[in-house]
Amino acid sequence: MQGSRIHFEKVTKSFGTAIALSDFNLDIAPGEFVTLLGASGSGKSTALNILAGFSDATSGEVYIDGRPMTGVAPENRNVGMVFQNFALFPHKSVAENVAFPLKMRKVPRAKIERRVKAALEMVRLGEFAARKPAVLSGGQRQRVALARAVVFEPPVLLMDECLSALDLKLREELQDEIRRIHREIGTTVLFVTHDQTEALTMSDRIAILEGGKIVQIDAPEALYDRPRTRFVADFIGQSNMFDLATVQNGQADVPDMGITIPVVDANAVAISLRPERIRVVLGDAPADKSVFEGVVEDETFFGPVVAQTVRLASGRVLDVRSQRSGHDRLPHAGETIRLAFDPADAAPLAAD
Amino acid sequence: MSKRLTLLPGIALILILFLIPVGIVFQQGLFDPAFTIEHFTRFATRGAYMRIFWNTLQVSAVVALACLLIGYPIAYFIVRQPTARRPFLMFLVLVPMWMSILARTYAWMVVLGKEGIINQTLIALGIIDTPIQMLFTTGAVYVGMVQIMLPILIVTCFSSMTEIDQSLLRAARIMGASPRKAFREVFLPLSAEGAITGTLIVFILSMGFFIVPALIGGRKDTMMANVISGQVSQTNWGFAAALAIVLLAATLLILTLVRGASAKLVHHHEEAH
Repeated sequence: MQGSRIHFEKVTKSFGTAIALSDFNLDIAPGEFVTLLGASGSGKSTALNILAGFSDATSGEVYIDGRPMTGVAPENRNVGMVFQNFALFPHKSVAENVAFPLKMRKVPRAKIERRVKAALEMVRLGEFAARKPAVLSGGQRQRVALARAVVFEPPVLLMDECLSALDLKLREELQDEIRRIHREIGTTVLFVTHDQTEALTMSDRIAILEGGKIVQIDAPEALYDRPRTRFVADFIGQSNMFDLATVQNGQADVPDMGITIPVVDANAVAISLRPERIRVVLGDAPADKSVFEGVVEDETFFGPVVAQTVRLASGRVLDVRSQRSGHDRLPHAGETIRLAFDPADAAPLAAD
Repeated sequence: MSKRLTLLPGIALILILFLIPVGIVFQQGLFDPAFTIEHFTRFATRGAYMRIFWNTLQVSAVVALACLLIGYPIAYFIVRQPTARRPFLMFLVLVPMWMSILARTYAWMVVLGKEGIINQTLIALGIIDTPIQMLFTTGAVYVGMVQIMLPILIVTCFSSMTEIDQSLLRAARIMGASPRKAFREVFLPLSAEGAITGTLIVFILSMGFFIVPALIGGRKDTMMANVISGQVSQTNWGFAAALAIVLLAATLLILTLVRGASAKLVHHHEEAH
């Protein structure tokens, strides 16, 4: 099956004076898995509801395979959806729930039975066909909802925070399952979540939403390695952010560290450094001008990794995560630590 | 243990206020002073009482169904309104209940009477020359009873409808159901139980109705409660009690039958998919 191309063009949505989406633009390739990641109220569910046809954009247009969707009722969009609370019909059995979209499409009875069976086997719930949703566990309900959403092979699949109600272990299991199903059926997926780990592990691309706008959209690695604003750096993973003093001739001072680093981006006002990209300078390694000092305040031992918080001379605290190589002795709490990093690992941040 | 203890006052209340009086009614109807079914044979062999009994059943059934047909759409309409507007609409539904049934029934006399508002308006408009007989008819009884019972059905339907998760309807739509199909496949079956309960409550209350048929019905609109009241005022306690027992038994029987049938219906509805 071929997924659809989805295109949001300058979509805005306001509820009275409150603006839920403003100038929202997004182009999703056929078969792509894109996640809208943001806090509650960032507009991610609004975007999903407009695509599903549950609410109209105030202005702008949404296209599915080039076809404008304004005025097209949800039932005519051929879109599958998994709801946050799963929205299983409590008065229908698991099989009847999964059969529903096929029944609405007037698929012949024999074919419905075959496809419901296949869909339930895909989510490994074959033997639960006759049960009512009420007797299923959360994870099983989620899988029924998933089977129901894909049983009619929709070219677009929407998922609205559908894993957030489940516990961690189950969530990870279902993340794998969703990815597997996405690979199998090749549908275009728009996934909405506030969970960054979920977004990072599942998506081809992640769009970070803030205040109804996409602040950055990138592949997970790019988003993690090259956040463009403080908001993104803070939202995805752990980050140490340092203000830059005047950027001149490709050089910038980092006052908190007391060092100067090369910065390519003339608009950068700060840098973001991931804790694992900071290197501990051990022993008598020669001090060059990229090395700075601090005092270890606290450390947490994770086995292969040690997380330390270090207080710099300026008073700023930063997080460092070091891989333990076995022989090296890392400075402990109260001791002076020397740190350095590759300037290429410092992501330049523009003003928010 | 303490949980059971806390139930005691409630149990005592039901015992004193309900079971004991019902027990006395049974005793009055079946003992005079020795055990006798004389009162029941009197009821069953006199055509007039049987006719009133069937009339009571018929009026109650018609009123209950009319309330369902009028009240369900009203409840549905209110549920579809923005949440902020619902309380006001429900308030409007409940306002008539603040007035005594007696006052409301007298108001119908003012509306339906020969010199009443409807007749006067129609005559003034030149649509009719002579007043239409509306008061003291079966129609008047229906109108009066439906007006009194309607809020009960609307409230019952409304509360079961508000419990329906709105995302279920969205889910039905996105999976290809038109609004009408989403209603039939999801909303209707999920609100059916509340609607049936409401209809039954109206039916049960109607079976014991007294004021409306007495005040705005004709002679042939007499209901069981009117006869019981008449017998009581003539101090025929035994016969009045027997009639009350018949009424209670009939109500319970119909309640059981409808419950069973509706359970089967809902079950069948599910099986059909």
